[in-house]
Amino acid sequence: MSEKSLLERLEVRNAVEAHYKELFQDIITLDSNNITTSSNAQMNTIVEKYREELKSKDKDINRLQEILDVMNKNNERLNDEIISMTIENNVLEDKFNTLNEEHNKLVQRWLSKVQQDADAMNATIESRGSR
Amino acid sequence: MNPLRSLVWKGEINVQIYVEESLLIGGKQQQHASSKPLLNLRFPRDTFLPMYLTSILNQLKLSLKYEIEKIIPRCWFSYNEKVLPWFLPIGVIFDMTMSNDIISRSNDTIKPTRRSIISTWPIKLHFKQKEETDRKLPYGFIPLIAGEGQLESFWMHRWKQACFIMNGSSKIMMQLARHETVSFWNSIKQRDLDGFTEISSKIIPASESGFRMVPIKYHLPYNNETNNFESPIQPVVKLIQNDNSKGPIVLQDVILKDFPDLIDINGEFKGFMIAQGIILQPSDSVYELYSSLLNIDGFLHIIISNS
Repeated sequence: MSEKSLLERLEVRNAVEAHYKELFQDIITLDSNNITTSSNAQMNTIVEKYREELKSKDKDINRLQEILDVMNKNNERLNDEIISMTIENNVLEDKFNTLNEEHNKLVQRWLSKVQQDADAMNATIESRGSR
Repeated sequence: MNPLRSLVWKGEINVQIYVEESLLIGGKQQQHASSKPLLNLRFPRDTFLPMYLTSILNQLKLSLKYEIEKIIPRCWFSYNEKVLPWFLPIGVIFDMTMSNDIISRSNDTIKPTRRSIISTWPIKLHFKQKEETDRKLPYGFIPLIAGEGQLESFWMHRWKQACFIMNGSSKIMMQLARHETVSFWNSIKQRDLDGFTEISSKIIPASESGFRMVPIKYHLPYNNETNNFESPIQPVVKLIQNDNSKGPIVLQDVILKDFPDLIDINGEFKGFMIAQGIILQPSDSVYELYSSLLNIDGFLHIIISNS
């Protein structure tokens, strides 16, 4: 009994899986159906030629891609350099500003000191003259 | 000739082959598949995918970007982005991926869908070039670097395993003459059932009592959540009843050992077992199932779905 039902199940399976089988080419007879006619052979050589060309173009692309990569790296390095230069520049400017301020202060102090000296000198001269 | 065997042997499936665009001339570099199937082919269930790889590529020859010899070691097939293992028979992979369709077509209570009546199997061919920056093959995939020879030796090993399970040693396999192993492999390639039966009957014990154990592999159905196919479960199946009850060992007895949750509280069997594209009944005799439904690698592959 079990065998009969197995048989039935397998028959159903084969029937279902055979639906629309005419649209599907049999893999076993595939190669023998593929007869190479002269136009097919011609096609083959053309395709072969183009494939070679494609290969060389792909190589070109790879080469150019490599160049691009190197260039990009250079670019990045230069960018880094610019940034470091800008930072240095900023630091130097700060330093310059503080020094400038200090210098101005010193000049001011010196000027006032000279003024004081001159005033003192004037005062002594004046007092001597009046004597 | 066993009529069941010849029915099993004649099983064929409709396969639609899509090809990744980066493999085609004029295709874009991005990886998306051609929107139309390039080939509609009918594959025998009990064969392996790599056996037809060269024929498939030959058909596509005019639109391929690379030479066929270069493609073969670095290509693979996928179903729904999932890599298909080349070392399982085509029918087994089909059953794993299409288990829902098979269940619905044999079950009257489920409304038949178009896919359960017309069965086609869309698979996609992928290729990864060696020169590409991201040149890794998918995780867990074994590339076919030695072509068909690799498949043949793998298949031979499978038979040695099966022989060991059935007879307790692989001696019979080792003792096969060179011309016998060659004709064994050729019988698979040339779809010659008589030739296959002639050699396999030397390895498989002639009667139920001759079996030490039965070589069976359980597979889980294709699951969207996991990335790869789960590794199969290899059960220990003996054909002798433990308790002295009469009658042959049936499928339910052995399956419940590894999948105890397939039976509900009322003792009803739920879940489905698929082999060779048909639903197996829990009451089917294991010996009969093995002797009529065994796959070409000497194992009986059963897909177990608990839905």
